Amino acid sequence: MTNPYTVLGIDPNATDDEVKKAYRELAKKYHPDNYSDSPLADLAEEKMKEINEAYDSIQRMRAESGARHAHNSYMFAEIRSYIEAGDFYEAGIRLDAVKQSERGAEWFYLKGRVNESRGFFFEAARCYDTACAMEPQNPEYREAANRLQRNAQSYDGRRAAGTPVGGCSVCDICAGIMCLDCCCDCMGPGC
Amino acid sequence: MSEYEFYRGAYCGLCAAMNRRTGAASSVTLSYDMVFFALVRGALTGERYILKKKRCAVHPIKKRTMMLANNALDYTAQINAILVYYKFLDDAADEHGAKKLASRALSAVAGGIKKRTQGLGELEHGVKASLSELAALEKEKCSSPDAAAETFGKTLAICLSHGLSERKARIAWEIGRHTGRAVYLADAACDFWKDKKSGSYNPFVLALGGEMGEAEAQSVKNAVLLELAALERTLALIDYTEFDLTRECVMNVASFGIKNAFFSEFEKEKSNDKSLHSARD
Repeated sequence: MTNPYTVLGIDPNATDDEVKKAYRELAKKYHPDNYSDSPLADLAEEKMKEINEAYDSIQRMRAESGARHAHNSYMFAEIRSYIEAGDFYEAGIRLDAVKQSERGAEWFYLKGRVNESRGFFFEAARCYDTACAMEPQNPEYREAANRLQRNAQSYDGRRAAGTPVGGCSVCDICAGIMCLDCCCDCMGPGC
Repeated sequence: MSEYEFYRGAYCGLCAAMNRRTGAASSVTLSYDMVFFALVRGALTGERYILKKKRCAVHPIKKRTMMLANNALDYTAQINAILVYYKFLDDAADEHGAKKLASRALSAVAGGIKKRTQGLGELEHGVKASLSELAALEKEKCSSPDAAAETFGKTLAICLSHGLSERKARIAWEIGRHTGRAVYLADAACDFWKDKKSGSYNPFVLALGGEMGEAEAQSVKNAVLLELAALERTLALIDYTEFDLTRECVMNVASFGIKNAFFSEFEKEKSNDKSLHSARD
């Protein structure tokens, strides 16, 4: 089947009004009245049929996507209310049930919130980053990404509380030894 | 007494506890993270510490400050034996060739040591279950560093909270969890390049598609930092009563020790990888 937008000669991103306008113009042009005494009336009629079908199919597609969009925003609003109530478990289950193809910026933001609540900070940060990349103008998503970044940096920025000896805390040393050990620790992955 | 001396004293004390509880062979598996474990456990149970200058088999000439036997040290010695046993067992399953044989032999020795742990059957069951959860995730090549780290966090949570009463057990569970998670994430991050090269399992390699640029490195570092921040918040909930040095020590290890050691190791591995690449170019 021919792309209905091509039939109407418009861009798929055209507004509803633009669709209507394009349809009216074409309908006027190919109206059977214009061809009543033409030997090509049958071709014009075919053309008119094609235009009507294209218009109907665009209307149908747009209604469906609008309903889906409304459904999604209802669903996400519901998930949000679980998150606000602290029921991250239920929110997580509902998020996981969303189809891959319908996971937009808001989905990633909400998934980030669920991950963050579980202490899964690496995954939370990645979800927020994805949400920001999908909707760079959204202040809520940006703020969540920045908040995690700020928390990590403020933790990183502090200084040792121990008594400084020669410019570095004694416990930094002992903790340092301990931790070298942690990093080469036998329990970690892959070694 | 300085924090450093106190920490060293706890280290020597734990070594002695291992000798006593799980035999001389077990003390070679002593590590500083288990000292941290012992101090946290002691802080939770309100252990009273006595430190004395003593000689021991490892340091027979010069007297060293040593923490005298207490329940926290004894408990940690046994936990260590259990963890080491399952670690060798896991290695024996994973490694190949000479390493496999070595791990098999060691797991046999460790099994002997583990037998000396008493009354910890239920705990051992939990440890075994959470470590096999981890092994399963590794086997199915789980690409979530957080999910993999969680299983190791659970292992330490079980160990640290075992036998404590409700409030203390809850705090201990979270401390163990954050410690295990932080150590696992830090280890995996530092092993990124090594594991990428050898093809060994590493959740960060899978999550980042093998790419560790500046942005990725920052996200990995942030993950460890946020974990440590969470650990610190949990440690602050312990009611430190007896020994202020414990608090200082434990807080310092959590706040700065792990972070500094991780950062230096991570940056070292990262720059090693860079210089390798520029040498090749």
